[in-house]
Amino acid sequence: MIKRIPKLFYYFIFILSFLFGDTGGGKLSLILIGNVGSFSPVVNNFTTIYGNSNYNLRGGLGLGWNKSFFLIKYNQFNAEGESIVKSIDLTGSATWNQEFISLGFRYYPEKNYYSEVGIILGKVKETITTSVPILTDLNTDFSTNQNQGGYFLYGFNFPFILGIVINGEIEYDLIYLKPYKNNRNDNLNLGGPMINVGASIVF
Amino acid sequence: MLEQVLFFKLRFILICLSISIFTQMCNEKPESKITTTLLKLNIFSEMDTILLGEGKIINLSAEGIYSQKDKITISNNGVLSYTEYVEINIDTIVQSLNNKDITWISADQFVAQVSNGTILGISKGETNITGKIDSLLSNSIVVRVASGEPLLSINPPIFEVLFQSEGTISGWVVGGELDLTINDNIVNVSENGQFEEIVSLEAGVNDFIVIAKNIDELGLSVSKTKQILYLFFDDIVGNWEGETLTRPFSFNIYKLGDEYLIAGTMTIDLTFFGGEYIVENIAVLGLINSDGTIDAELSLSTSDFSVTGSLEGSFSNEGTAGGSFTLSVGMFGVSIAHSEQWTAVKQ
Repeated sequence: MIKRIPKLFYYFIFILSFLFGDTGGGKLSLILIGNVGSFSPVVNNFTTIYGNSNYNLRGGLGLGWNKSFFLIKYNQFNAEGESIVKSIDLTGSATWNQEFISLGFRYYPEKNYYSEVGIILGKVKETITTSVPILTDLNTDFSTNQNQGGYFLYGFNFPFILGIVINGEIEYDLIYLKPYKNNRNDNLNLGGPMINVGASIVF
Repeated sequence: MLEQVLFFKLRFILICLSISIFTQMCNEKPESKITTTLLKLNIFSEMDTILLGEGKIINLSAEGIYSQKDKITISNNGVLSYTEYVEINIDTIVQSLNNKDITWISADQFVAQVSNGTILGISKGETNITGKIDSLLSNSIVVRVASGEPLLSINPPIFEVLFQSEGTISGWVVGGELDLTINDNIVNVSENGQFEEIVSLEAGVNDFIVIAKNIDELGLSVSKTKQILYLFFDDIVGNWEGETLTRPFSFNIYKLGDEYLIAGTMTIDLTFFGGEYIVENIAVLGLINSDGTIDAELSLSTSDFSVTGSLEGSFSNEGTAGGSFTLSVGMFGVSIAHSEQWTAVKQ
């Protein structure tokens, strides 16, 4: 079931474009987006190791017709923390690098708020070491590409100046770790709740 | 209006999907695993040989010698990354055992029976008690059960030379109600049959007769004797003449301050590479210890050979002494060992 979720999002977008895509001769628009978000992946031990104060940076653009937009966004999420070392008195360190691209469909039922759904493709790398680097048995990393998932967000617009709009968004990401044969991390969700603030401009 | 309803439904579905993700569980691994293997089983009591009266009981104790393997998994955990290595420590430990965990065996059930480590004397005789866990057998303990006259044992040595005015007589006695005397003086016996008495010594040979006698109509008794020779150090000062196995041996004992020195010479016969050799004038030099034992060094160095070694001994009775010596003789770059006994009489 879980492995089929990314495909479901493809179907969602496809269906939504038929349901809500305004192709009735409306205005063609270009939107540029930039925001920063507080991101807390729900995967086990993430907040224990990396804490809660981690931020996701995002930039993107989209094309739309009246109330509907297709968007492509690039997300970068980095975090540093302390890995959990057991049975020996050492301090561990951990770094987390996650990049993903989201393709989404945004719809504005009304001018001041919008909803968005989409799919996510991305990669993640985690490196752990200890305070005694010579203990190489305790140093390792894990990385994987082609992690897939989807997202949903609900946003608000606050008009600013010169056509710039301030955005506030509440988002939830589902990003499934690419399954690895015999790997204990199969099917972990690297996504989670995100609160974004940023700006966009529509041409 | 329809659009809003559809969006709320879509949002509901996505929220439900996300909730299912929170059920991910983390597999905790054990950090340390200790395994112990019983290598040896020891049973013991306060006595090497247990003396027991009919109907009397005595408890044994047991301990196990274990090999303990401590397997420690040292790990470093990230969210996705995990690495570990295993450290294994092997140690030997001794642990007391519960007597109920042991299968107790008496070689002769008609002499003594044993249950949960408690031995019950049945009838006169001797038997062995052994413990067993799985297929691992313990050491054996000898049990002697008394009937009729008491069983009496005097701790060795039965003959002793002392250079002090007090000695100790100790041992074990077992039986029914009994009196224990040393030279007609009543001696206290502990609940487990042990006794120890300090006795005054007079110069020369002291005989001590230990008698254990039942307090009943028959009054059966058993007696043992211990001799203690009380010597003064000044008694041993002077010239001593004696012999080794093949040659004469003489020495003198001197008093030098608070020390008593032994000094003399020794001659030995050696067979070396098929030839007969006589090694003369080996120096003997040492001290008389505070307990009266002799502790001396042997040495000789010539152009042909060298001799090193040690001599020990004690004063066995009034005016006599004996012991042994060990030599290492080096000749032509080759070393051979030589040991002999010696005796001497004060002149």
